[in-house]
Amino acid sequence: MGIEIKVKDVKIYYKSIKALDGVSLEVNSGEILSIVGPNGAGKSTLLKVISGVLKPKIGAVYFDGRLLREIPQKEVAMKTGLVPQRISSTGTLTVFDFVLTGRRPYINFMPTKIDEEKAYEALKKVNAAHLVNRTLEELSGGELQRVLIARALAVEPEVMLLDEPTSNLDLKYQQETLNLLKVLRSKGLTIIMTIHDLTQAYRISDKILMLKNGRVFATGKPEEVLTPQNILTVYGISTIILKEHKIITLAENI
Amino acid sequence: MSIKRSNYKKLLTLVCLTIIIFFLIPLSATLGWYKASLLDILRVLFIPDNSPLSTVVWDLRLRRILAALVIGAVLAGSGTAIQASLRNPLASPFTFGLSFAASLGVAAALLFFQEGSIQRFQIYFYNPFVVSIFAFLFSLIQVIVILSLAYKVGLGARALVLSAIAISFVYQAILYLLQYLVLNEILTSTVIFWTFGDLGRISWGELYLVAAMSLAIVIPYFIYRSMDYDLILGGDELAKSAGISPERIRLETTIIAALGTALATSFVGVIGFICLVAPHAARLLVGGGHRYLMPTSMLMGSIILLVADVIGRTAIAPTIIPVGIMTSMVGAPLLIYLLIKGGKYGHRD
Repeated sequence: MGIEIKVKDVKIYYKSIKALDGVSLEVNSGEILSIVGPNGAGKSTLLKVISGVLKPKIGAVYFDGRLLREIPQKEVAMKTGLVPQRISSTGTLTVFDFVLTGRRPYINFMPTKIDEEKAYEALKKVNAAHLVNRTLEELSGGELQRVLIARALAVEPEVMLLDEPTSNLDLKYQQETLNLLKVLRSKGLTIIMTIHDLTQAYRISDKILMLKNGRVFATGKPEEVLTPQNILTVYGISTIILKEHKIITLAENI
Repeated sequence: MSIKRSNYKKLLTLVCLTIIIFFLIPLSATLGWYKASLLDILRVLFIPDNSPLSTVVWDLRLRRILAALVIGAVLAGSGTAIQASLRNPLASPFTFGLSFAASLGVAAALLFFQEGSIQRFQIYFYNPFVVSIFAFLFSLIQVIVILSLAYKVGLGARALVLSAIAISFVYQAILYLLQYLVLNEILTSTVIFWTFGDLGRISWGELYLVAAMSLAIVIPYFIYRSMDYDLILGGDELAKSAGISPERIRLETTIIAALGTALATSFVGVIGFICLVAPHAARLLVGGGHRYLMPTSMLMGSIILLVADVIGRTAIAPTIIPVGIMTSMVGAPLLIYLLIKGGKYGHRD
């Protein structure tokens, strides 16, 4: 369970904009890597590269030493569980219909009993089994987030990729989501996420990658990366860090 | 309610709709100008003989009924598939102008190549293949226009449908221009008569062609893609992460929907709104998951078209109201309602 992921010198250009300009990273199985940085720094783009949704022309991604673009698409789909920030439309799908789509890489024509059971188990893992027959429109933000994670878990992935998993949630669900990620990490999954809340990133991550304008500004353990000096340079905001509580607080000059 | 029970309920809906169709076939065969009892109809259905009743049932009514079943299913399936793959609940071959593009193709075949003639309210196509190939080619042009408007220009759900309707006017204008220029009474009346969507005019040979293509390509493809449509609704990124290509599926889906629409339109004319009404009706019955929605929608399409045709045949008998006129009367208000609702597909932002 869990794979080692390496990204080497990836460059992605949208016309003249450099979305990613030579980004490298390394994360092992059973680790949580948080990608932080201001809006437009390239966090989501990097996540798309790792999930194989975006294929970089320059640079490479490796899953356990294998070049990502040489692994068959279906196999990549079976290894990665993507949790997007939002969904495009709900189309009156029920929660169960939606979670079942996580089984798509395993399904040739129609889902089997096993697929249905795995989808249901995934819902149980995020405490959302009672939502099975609700439609996606009827869910609250917190419920939808859990359903999105359940869909990714239904894939039975080795790496979970999450785009801002806590941004739409209230405090309680933020905590629940982070606790769930810890449980998944303890089972050996590789977890990569983008996150805005630096305090949460500090608390939960094994590694942090700080991006600025498509480049890696700093990378390493949370206490090495999330320093007041780095945050000031990247975000332009003064902060103090209360180490004993692992809390980052904005300084008084705001 | 557990998953098992909810799946069971949806399956039961499918079974019920299938049973309804099997009841509707003999029932709609009894209705019409030539009166006969249900028992007599059943007798000649199972044991055809040389009686006038047998001729009426087999040559006139059964052909219409089967045409309604096949064409209703194809149009409804096309509508459902296009709605999902473009994430647009207003989408359908009719509202996207595919039907009008196909009808222009048929008119071109009739006017320039004189591929058909009208005799006693029946249009004869000399070569059904040529006519449907023309219809298909013209609707492919519309596929390119629609996909470019949606993905190159970036139009939203409502704007896309309104532009498509505007383009339909262009096709109609070209159609009128052709009739005006050709100005051959027989040819022009053939085209005008043909533009009323009417199930009665399909011949057995044409019906075989439509049924064979639908059962071999159109219907299996839409059923096969059911799960992918669920995925695409969630977003292109999700679909890609599951190893499928949303762009490819969108292209294939619209081309196959165009093929289905072109086949249907070639032989029975423009039948509007079935492709929009049936998916929405089916969604009310079984929800949005395409594993159940797709077949339910196809069955609903068959039933609605069959019932609309029976009403058209019996309302002011012996005059038959073409079924295209019937479906437009019911479908247009639904389109207006959907446009007012804003063309949303349960978006959450």
